[in-house]
Amino acid sequence: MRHNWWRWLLGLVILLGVSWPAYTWTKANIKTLKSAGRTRMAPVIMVPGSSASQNRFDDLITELGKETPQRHSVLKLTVQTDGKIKYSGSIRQNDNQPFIIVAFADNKDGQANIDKQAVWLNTAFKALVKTYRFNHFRALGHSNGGLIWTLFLERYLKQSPKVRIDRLMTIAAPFNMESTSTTTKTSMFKELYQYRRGLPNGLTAYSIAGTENYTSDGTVPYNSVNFGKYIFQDQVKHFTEITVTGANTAHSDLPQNKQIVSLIRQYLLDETVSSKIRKQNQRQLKN
Amino acid sequence: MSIIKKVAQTLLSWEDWLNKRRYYHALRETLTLLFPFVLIGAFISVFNQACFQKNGFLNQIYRLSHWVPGFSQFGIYTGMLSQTVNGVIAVVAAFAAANFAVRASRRDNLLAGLTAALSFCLLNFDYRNTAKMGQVTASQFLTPNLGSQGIFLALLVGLITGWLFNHLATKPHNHQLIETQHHLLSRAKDNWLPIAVTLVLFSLISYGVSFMSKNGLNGLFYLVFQLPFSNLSGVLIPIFSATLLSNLFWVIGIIGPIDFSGNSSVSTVQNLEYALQHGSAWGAPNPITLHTVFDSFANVGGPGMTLALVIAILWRSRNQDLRTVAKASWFPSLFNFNQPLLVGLPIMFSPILAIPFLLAPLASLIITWTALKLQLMPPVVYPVSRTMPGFLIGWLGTGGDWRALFVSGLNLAVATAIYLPFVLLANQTVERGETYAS
Repeated sequence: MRHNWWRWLLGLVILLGVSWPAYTWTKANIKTLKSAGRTRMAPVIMVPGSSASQNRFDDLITELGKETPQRHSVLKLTVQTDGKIKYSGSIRQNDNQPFIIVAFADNKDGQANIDKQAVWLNTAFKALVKTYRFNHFRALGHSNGGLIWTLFLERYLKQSPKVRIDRLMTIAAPFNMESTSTTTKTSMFKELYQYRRGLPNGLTAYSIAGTENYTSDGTVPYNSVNFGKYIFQDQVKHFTEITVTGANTAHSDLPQNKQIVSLIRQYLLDETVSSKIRKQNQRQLKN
Repeated sequence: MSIIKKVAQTLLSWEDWLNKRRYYHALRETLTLLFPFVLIGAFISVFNQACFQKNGFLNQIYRLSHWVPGFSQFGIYTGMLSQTVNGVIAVVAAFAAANFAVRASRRDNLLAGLTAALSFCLLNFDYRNTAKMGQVTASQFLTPNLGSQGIFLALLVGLITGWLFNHLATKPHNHQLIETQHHLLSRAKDNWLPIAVTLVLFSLISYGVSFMSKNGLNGLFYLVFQLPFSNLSGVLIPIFSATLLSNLFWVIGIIGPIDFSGNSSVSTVQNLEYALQHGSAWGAPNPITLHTVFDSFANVGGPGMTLALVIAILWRSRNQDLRTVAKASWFPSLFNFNQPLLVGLPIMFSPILAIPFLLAPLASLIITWTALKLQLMPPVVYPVSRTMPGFLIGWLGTGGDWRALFVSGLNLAVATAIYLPFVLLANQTVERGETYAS
């Protein structure tokens, strides 16, 4: 009986020794969560280029789905000219990294339109934050989508002060529009340059250029993509330019180009990719 | 009373009958043989996941990472141990199952076991990747399937191999204390047919499956078994049936189509956001989810409320075998690792223990659901870790609500009460054994 008595006491002591620190831990944990919570959900928001619909990235998503272990659900938004949003698709439960595609009913090219599209992106973005309550995200922009993102980050992200951007990747974004010159500055570039101080300091940005020949991907001049450095350099934490050459490097093929898909996986999605792909990406970085 | 006795008698005689089936018996023997390895694996898992992981329970509450020297090294080392010991347990299971299946019929058990282990590896070979590379040098095994996830398939492979050996090997095997080369070669000669048939059979199955599933036969299995759990809404019945089905899978060795679903689902995130904004868990938007009900209240000691089983055994059982296993397994069970109990008692493939294993979580679900519906306690909204002792999850996950702790305690008591009669049945076996002996 005496023997048993000791055991009960020991059990009680252990129980208290676990419960009390556990209780203080959970209280402290709640406190830290309250002050600076990073939500578990962190969507990847994609913006297509001009004249492209919300289905622009379907090929890319299929291509990503072939390789990635994680399945991403897809939500597509089209912002109407009056700021109303049409939704299609849904975000699966348990999916912490859904793909959200924001397209615009008016998707024409040109500086005036890009300015408008950045405002629409802001409308959609705020609606998304309100619905899904995420406070960090990753961004992908193809072509003018990259310009829209840049403008949005410079001017409108401030309106959602609790939300931070983890990474931005632009694919063939013509920061100097269709100009092939290394010196002439278009007014689009001037606008992006003017607001560059608004870019979040902690941003990690990747700009990918595709080249069919030595000067362009057939649509966007390499020099125009290269103008991104004047905007991002010294403004953000990391800015990396990557040039992809070879098969399927025409402007519209770029999002589903195999090399770019693997770059997206490694740098934007931050996946653990196989050493083979990593090697291949690294080889490219040396160029 | 007599009805209960009758039911008990029926159950016992049924188990007796089952135990006399050769392959069933081999299955149970295999599980018990695996016990020491699974036990060590569970202890390693506790050290790795509860102590040396960033979100491990003991690390969090004692801030181990701040004062234990070489914390990250320990993390890597125990992680490696866990992956190696737990990572190939299914291969061992395949070996043992075939070994036991042929021993009774005096066939070559060692060769049968080796063949089964090889066959199981063949079955989990990444043909798809190899085919892509165009050469066999870049080959890989589907390593996730070789761990505890693969136990069901491993047992199946072992038993099928055993069956093939029993039917294809013609000569009985003579055990020799000191082996000679001559005898070893004659063993090979006697058994070449079952060895070849087994290997060819499983490699062909594996190759065929590789056209359908990226993760081998096991991946196909899990894909099918996960189907019922893909769309779980916030009502009781789906959670109820999902829990029942999931636990049933555990009993037959298909481990965790729905494991601890964690803090990741959107509903959980929404709950957390709500609670952080309002400073309280009351009125969270999704009070009833798999996480708030099943993870937090019906998973004490692992699936099947197995901590209650440990308590029931240590409290009242006089069966020495049960006591031995329970004494060794209570510690991992505190942190929700119940694999030692599953294979040691064993709960797996045991008709008697399967009943409370399925019923106890359901009782907990009902109690928890009632308490949430009547708003007797707030739902679990704050993050909890997988290794948090089950009976504390409700309390800690609600931010220290005493009513939630009470509900957890009640659940544990009810579960113990459900397990108790079945544990006492085992006492009868002991008494019968004693009367036979005397």
